[in-house]
Amino acid sequence: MLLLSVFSTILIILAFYVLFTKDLVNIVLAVAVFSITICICYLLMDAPDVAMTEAALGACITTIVMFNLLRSMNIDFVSCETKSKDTNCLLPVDFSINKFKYIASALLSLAILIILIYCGIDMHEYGNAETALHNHLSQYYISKTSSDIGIPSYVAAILGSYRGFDTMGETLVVFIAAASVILILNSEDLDINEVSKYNLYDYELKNYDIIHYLVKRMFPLIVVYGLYIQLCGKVSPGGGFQAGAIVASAVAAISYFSTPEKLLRYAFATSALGVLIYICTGVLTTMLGGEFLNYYALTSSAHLAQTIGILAIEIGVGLTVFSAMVLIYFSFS
Amino acid sequence: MLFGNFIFAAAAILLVIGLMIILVRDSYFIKMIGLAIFQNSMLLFYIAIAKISNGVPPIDQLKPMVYSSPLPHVLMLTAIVVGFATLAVGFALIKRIYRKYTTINASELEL
Repeated sequence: MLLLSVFSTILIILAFYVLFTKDLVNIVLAVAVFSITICICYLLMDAPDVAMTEAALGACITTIVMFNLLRSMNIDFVSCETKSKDTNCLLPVDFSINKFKYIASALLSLAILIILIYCGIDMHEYGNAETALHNHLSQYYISKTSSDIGIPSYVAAILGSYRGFDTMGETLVVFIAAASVILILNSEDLDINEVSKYNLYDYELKNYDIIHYLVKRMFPLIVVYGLYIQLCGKVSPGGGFQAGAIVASAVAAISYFSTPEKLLRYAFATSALGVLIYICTGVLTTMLGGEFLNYYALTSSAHLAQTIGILAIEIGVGLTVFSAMVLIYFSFS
Repeated sequence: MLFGNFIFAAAAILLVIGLMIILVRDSYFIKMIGLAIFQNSMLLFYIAIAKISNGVPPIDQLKPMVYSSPLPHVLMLTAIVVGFATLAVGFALIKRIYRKYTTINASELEL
């Protein structure tokens, strides 16, 4: 409890830092630390799945995408602190000029905070097991999963089977987001020649032998770890969302030394293929006589059918998330 | 009591700071980060109400135990992924704005 309070205080301090600091690079670093800290908070509150997703997506991929965006906007990293107003990196909070706007938004925020705290007085105590959330639907999932689905991880059971239709929508959203990023930034952005020409040769990172050596050795390990997370998501924290983000971060690291051209050429197709695998699993169950995404129709053994169904849709989710993250990362480079 | 519920208060304060960043800061890039902090405060709140004191993570331990509720975990897990996807779309729009107007500050844009 004390640990949680300490970490949430750090979160508040970091948010204030983002509110008041001027340098964009420092803000990006503060957001990365924010992600790691909130990840520890999730872990302390018994949510290892959420913590893993936040660590892979929030702390890793968001940070590198932000840095790629800043780099593409010609922002000078090194001299950011010293240069004054004519560079892009200094973005002053205009407290003096726009005093009215500042005071009005501060008052509005304070009013909202007071309303929220006032509503929160009635709230149950942290960790209380007698609330409505813990006694109806959650109780059903916890008591029925081992007999219905037969896999140890309740989160994977709800994600893949009980609420499979919901997850299909989320996967589609990720695919649509990757597609819209490509459409918003013109198609020439994904020109492979331009990516490889631009790819960090001006940064001279590839001249650092230690980093090259480490990345080359770490790459297969990270990919194997991602595959483990993908395939063992049913018995431990993990699953398609986390695995896709982890493998995509490995590809992002290796891209500093060689551009994965074939992967980029087919990434959009594999992203669509993941969604297709998901929908085809649902269509297959309807053709075999069940409802959409009712895995019991697949084989006669109930637990085996659920395991096969969840594995199939998790592979679809992993493929879509991985390809979408790679596409988004290379679109911003 | 006050100390125990501090996590809920922290979520409320984070939400307000996120709103404040969106309203006060001039750069669209930082406004997007404010939106991300706003969203993270909600995620923190949902995970906090799922926790049961002396509960364990929701993975079957093959014996009767108190498990924290898995349902908010599932909802928030997908919300993080979708949140990142929408953030990326916002960044793409910012990059387009920069390409056309060579600035990402709201006050310098003459639309």
